Amino acid sequence: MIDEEEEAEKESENKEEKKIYKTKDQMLDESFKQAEILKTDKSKKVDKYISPKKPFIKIGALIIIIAIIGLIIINYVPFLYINYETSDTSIKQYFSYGDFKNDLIEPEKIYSLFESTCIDCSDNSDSYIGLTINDFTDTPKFTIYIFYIMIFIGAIFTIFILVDKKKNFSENTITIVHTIFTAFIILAGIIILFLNIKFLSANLLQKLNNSFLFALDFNKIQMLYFMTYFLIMISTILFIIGLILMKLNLNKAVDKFNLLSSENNNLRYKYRSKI
Amino acid sequence: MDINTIKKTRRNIILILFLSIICLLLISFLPWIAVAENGSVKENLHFNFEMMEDSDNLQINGLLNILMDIYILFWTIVIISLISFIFIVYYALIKRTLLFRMLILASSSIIFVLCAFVVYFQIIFSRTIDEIDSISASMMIPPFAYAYVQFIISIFLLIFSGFYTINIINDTTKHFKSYKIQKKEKKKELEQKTTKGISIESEIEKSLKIPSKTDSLKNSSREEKLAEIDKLLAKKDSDKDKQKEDVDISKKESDKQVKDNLPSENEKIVYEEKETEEEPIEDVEPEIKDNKQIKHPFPEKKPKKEIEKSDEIKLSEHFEKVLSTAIEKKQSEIKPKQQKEEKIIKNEKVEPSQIEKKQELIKPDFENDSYQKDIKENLTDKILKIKCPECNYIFPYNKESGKKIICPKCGKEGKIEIKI
Repeated sequence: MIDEEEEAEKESENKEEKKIYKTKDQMLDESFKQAEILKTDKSKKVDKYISPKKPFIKIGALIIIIAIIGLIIINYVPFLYINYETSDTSIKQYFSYGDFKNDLIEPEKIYSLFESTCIDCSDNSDSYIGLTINDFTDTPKFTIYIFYIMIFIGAIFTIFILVDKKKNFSENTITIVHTIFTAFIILAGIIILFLNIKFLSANLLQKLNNSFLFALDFNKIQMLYFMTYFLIMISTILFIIGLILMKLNLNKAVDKFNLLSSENNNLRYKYRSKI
Repeated sequence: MDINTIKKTRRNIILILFLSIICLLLISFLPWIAVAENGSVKENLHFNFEMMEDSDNLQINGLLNILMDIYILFWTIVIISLISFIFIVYYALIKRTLLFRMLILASSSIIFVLCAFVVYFQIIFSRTIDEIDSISASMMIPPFAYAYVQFIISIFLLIFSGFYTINIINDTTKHFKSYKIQKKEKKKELEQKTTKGISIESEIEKSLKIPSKTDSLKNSSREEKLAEIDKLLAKKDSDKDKQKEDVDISKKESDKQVKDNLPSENEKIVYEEKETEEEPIEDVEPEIKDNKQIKHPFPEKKPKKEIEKSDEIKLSEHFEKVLSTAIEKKQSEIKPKQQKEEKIIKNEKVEPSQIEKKQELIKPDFENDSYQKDIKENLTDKILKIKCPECNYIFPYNKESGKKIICPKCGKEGKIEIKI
């Protein structure tokens, strides 16, 4: 009986020892694995320097696309739509596709909306809505020129980016070129807006000076300038893009201003002040 | 320029550009005046900018001239703000010179003056309208005229441009004041240490231009030395532990490979001991004593050693076996090249004298090139040169010392953030 008890005790002791060895073995393996991982990580960090990839800036291409869309709008969207009631309560409509000056409009009194034909002569003004016939020819002409300039600038910018891919310019030069490009975009946007906003203003004046138009026998007149609305939309988009780019460039400049790189290794450090 | 001012200028320039463009567009959009007509329709005829241009009325033409002035002023504000935007970006990125600082200051002050003129012309415009009986301001809702919209926006523009200029003026004055104070302090210092044959003014200018490289180098060399000592101490401790382990393992036949590898590690120890002897520790130690901030490099290592010793006592035969197998695994994975070389040597059955010669050949390479390179690389990884954005003072920074930094010269606090 005593031998059996001793054997049982020995067996239990052996089991406990085995368990301890197993746990220790596991612990050792884990610690070695961790050590290896740490070692390999360090080596990776040292060997593999992650060079920041330069993003292919597609803004130049975007500007070209916007300019092409603008040119399509100028050529294919109707410039002017007039809808009014005559004294006979008959409704008359008129569409114009750009060449308003050379169109043979019937009735001719539509011209009196834009140029005083002395139906009710006023010394103060020639027109009641602030638009002349020349505006219908000059505005699309100038906007076309600006779109051409935009295409040219966009092409130059895309070429610059493509050259940068090969020649690898510094980030500073890219951002400076980018800022000049954004300044041009903003300017182009403002000019297009400024050229076309008078048509939007004409709608406001139409409402304010409605009684004078009624006197010219234009009852319940509706005047819509589809092309200019689209152009105003495009120019506002351009303007917003320009402002966003401006902010991005400034942010980049501020980051760079606050960023200091070490000469020894390829890490860059940011000195953050308590602002 | 301070980072704070740069951030403020960024905000202000965007706002100025945005508001000036809106004002420019409003000039051609808003109806400005209403003229009483005496024809068949006896009502007020509203005029916008385009209509005013076409008018033959002299009074309207007089008002148009004022509006034209405002229009030109807004165009110039837009263009100057765009130019100053380019200047700011250029200044922040490349040329942090006084010239660009002055250009930004000039552009901001011009914008402010132009905005003030715009407000002035608008007041004149409203007064001239009041003076003419037949002309009144075009009303949006009876007491509120359309012209007020632009007037309010232009006042906002004036305020922002004022902030913009004040911000830059403050920064430049601070810069000049600090420059003068520094100059005075340096003068005093140099007066105390006046030496014959050296002009004081030239020295002041030299020291004020850029924080001298020698100071930073001195500090960096001290830091490097300290880091080197830390490294060597750490290596010593680790190698001693390894030695103990290897002695236990060498008793068994299964650990022949480990035994063969032992000499190379012993070489390390020998080399390190030599290096410690060679290095001027005596020169560095007093520096450590001087700086009370730097205490023992590894204060946490003591309890570790105690734990390891206690484990050694408890080690049983089974545990030793497990340990030996684990070390075998590790070494077989980490140093396959060494094993290969050894196998080749064994296969070739080279004489022991030749092996010794080969080992001797390997020794100097290990000592001179690879190990020293490792140390240098580690040191360069640890220590960086950092430039203070406040006073442009370059000082060394140890990566392991923490993220917070304080400039030793001006005391500007900051955080370091890694950007890959």
